[in-house]
Amino acid sequence: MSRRSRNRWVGLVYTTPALAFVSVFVLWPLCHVLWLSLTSRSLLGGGEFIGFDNYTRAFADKSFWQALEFTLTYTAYITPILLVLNLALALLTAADTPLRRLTRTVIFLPVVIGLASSSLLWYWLFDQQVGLFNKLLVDLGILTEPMIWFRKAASAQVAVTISVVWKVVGFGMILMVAGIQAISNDIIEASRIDGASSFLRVRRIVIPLAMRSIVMATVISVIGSMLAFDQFYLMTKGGPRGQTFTSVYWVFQNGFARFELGYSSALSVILMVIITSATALQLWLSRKGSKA
Amino acid sequence: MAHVELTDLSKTFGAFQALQDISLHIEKGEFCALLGPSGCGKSTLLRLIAGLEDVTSGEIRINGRDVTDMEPADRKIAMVFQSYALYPHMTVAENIAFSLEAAGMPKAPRLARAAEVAKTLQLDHLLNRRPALLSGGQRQRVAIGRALVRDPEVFLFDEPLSNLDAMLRVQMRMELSSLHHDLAATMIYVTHDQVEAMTMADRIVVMDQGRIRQIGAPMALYAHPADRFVAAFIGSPSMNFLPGTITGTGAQLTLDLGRAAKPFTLTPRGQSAAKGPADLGIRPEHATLTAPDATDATLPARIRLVERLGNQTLVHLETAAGPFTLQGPGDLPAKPGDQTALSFDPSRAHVFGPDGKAI
Repeated sequence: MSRRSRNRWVGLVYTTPALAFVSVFVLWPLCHVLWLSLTSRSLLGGGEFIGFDNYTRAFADKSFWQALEFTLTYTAYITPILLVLNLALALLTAADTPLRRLTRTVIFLPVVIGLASSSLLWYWLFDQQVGLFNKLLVDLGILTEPMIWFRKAASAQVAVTISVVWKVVGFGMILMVAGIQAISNDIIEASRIDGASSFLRVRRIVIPLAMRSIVMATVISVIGSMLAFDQFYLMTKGGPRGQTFTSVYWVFQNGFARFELGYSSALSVILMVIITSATALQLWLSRKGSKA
Repeated sequence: MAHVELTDLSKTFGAFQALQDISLHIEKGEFCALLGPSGCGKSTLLRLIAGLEDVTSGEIRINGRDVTDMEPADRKIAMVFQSYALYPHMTVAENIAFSLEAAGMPKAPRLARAAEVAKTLQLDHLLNRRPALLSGGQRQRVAIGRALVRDPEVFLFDEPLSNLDAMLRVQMRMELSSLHHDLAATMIYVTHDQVEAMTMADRIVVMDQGRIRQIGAPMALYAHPADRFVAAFIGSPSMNFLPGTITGTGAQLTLDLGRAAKPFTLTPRGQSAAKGPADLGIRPEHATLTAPDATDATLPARIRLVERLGNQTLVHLETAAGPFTLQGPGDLPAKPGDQTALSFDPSRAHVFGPDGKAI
């Protein structure tokens, strides 16, 4: 056996565990979902091959498009909020002093809590009767009396947004801190000698040089928001009047409440195509931007 | 009035004293090199002058203004970093013009000014390139351009040539010297390379362990080192030190270098001497080989190794007083194993007392 072909085999052996993991937990479920989406399979079993009927049905399903529209709206407003907060917190805590390290840890702590647990925690904090959030707003004089946060779609979205931002902001912050800390200290010092103000330094030096981390944090945030489910399932239950149904919630509803596994698989595939396209577009735009 | 005045400057990092009581006056247009081994505090001193570190105590004045607590940008200084510290996402023109952008100059005039500076540094054909596409020498020139465009009162260089290969370093050394000559600007240059300091500087400040050991013109330091540290640090190959004993004092010192050696007599230059242990310092080019029985033979020696460098020969010898390196002409007749003797020129010999100070 030649050295080159032996090296190939050795390489394959080394990558086998990763390939096996990806095959079992990514490729196989993906293929299975693709197959299910072409059948009328129920959660209880049975069903048959029906071609693209589920996809035809999905394109005519107003509720799915309404849920998708809500999901896109949610993604469109929570992403910039997270981006700005991630960056601001990263800039404030990037320097490696003991106090800043402690602050980073405190901000990152909610990331290790499960999303379901944090959603329940915030659900109680927003409760009209016993919620501390209402009490705080009343004590501060911002509200005259405790409000029911989940009665209207707008206030429910505010509540969910606050809970999600609290939960995930630390993750993006850590990614951006890593990006900022990777910038050579000499470059920052050179910009100080060049007379750059803090604002100019952030705008012209820090953001462009930490762009990879910023794009990564944004992509992760967009994917997470497009896949939003737990927070709405636990805090709003899709209400009021189905106004906060997200796409994944609608997939769940079809698969596990209506037992239509084939149809919910088709919805999942459509969602996957949309998210993959959006991610690819984001990466392409950021690469194009960095080359310009 | 000196252009840059440092008075009783000290800097501590926690319990570590990086600089202690540094007082130094640098004249307008002077090229001053801060020279010393790694960790001696020379870069810290430069960073204090730049304003990149806070002063623990003492005062810094530039052109008569107290700049001790000023921001770096307000000190009218420019700095060239060892790593060049170019902005990797900006073009050469944007790099050079960035300080003008920070000063609020509109885009067209600042790019025109950057192009003007780039032309003087032969960078005009590279204006739209990013640093990653430049060679080491070109990056160095961009870093210098970025300093030039600010029209500073003082240029600070932090080991700017240490990332370049040997040939490019020689070329950049000459370019920096011409730049200094053309601009007649005050330049403070940190280096651990004594060749750079000797070839470029008007004055060298030799530092060790956070203190100034000696200040002087390059040849003055070479010919009259104040102590053993300076004597060893300046000159390549380094000065030879032979342990001995002062047996006679007065107008003429007599030094006994051990059993096999003849007593060596010279005129003292430094502090007054007392009888007792001392080191004789001889530069490699200030000794000659002679026959063991010659009248001028001082110290018998055996040749251990001969290095032929073309224009010169380095001869490594073993003597009863310790190893010795001699530098002679390229065709010096010498071969390993030969028994020979060393002859020293008393007018160029140095003696250092037990405290390391020159006698």
